[in-house]
Amino acid sequence: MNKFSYYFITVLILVTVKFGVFGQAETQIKFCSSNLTNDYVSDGQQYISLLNGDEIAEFRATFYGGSTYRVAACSGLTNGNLIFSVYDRDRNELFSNRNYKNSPYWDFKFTSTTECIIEAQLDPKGPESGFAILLIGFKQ
Amino acid sequence: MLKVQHKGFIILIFIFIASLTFSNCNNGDEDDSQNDTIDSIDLQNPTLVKVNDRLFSIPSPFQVALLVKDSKVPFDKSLLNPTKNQVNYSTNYKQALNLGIYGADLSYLNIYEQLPDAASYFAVVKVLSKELGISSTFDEKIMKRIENNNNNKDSLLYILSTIYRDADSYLFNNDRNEIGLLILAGGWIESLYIMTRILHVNSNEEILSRVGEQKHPLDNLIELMRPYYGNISDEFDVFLEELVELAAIFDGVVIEYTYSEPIVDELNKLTTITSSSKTIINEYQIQKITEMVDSIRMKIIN
Repeated sequence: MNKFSYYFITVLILVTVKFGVFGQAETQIKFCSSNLTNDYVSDGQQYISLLNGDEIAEFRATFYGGSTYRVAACSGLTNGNLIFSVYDRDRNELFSNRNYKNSPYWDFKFTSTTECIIEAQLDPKGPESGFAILLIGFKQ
Repeated sequence: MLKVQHKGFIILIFIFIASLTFSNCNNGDEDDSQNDTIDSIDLQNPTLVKVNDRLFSIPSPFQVALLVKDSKVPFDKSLLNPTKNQVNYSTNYKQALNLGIYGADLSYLNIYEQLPDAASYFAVVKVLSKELGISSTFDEKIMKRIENNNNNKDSLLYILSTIYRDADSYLFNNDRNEIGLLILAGGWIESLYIMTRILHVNSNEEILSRVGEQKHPLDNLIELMRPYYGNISDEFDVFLEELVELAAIFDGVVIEYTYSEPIVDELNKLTTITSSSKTIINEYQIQKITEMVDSIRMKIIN
């Protein structure tokens, strides 16, 4: 095999690996969005992070008072692999699905606008690595 | 030299095979049984990772549209960016920002059931998406859904938000995160603009609070954009600097927060967050915010 063939195949493999990884993520996002039913309008964003071991994905979100939201959380193509927790800005735990059999979604009704921190981590009993996918929708 | 290359090539083959093999690992088994409690997780040394290389989310402009409608404020088409301006947007920077702006306008039109106008805004969103190279989010299936639901405002809002989410995902997966951020920023600016213009003629308490509540989302938006400062374009840098100036005005807005125990309805998978927050914002701050947002938006749409 000549040098050009090596380089060509190398590039092909690298591209396949990259798109293979994100292809999986797309499939999992579709699966996760089945928990965001039609009465919940997406916030127009998707939150995804590749986690290994005990890594925790974290992000901050503002939830408006007077509204009801749904947070859908998935890893892989079965429910229950992802633990997600919601804290207020002072790190008071407002909710964790670990207390509810790792429910793949939960609804939140906010009486006042609240800045929250959302953390997600893989269930230690599940796969050691995987995508953490979070979707947020608000009720119309 | 050739032997080293050959070894490297074999390693790559193994990586390739491994990526194909482990891509199916997350399917897992079908056993859904879960214990009520789980073993304690070692949180001594967790590693925090960013989500989408982002640590922050920005509130949706679609939701602002709902709030405005619920506040019984009459529809005002003059608030929106005219569709004819679309032809002026020739750079990715302008296209992305205005894609966000038109998306916010579209949700406003949709909520007020101005569906004939909504159709022309959908067309503009489609054109800008194509120019940004994200027209796959407007595939035939989506267009069919839009046509089939053009009299159903709830479905249209759902479809619209899904389009924007898919675009966000596409841009992230193709290392074009900065375009996704500009779209978010455009939508956020337009929402704030609409609310401040409404306050100008209608002193609505709820909208007043909502304007003040943009303090933290603005800080979050700036943090999202900061890593790209100096790396995209002069226009981007100026825009970010203007957002920082706007944040300085918001610094005077006070948000008082008091924690309260949430109420859980396990049967319905619902938690009511009863913690309270109170936004304290004065007329002067509203005026300054209005002027600044107006100025920023003018530069974007013209």
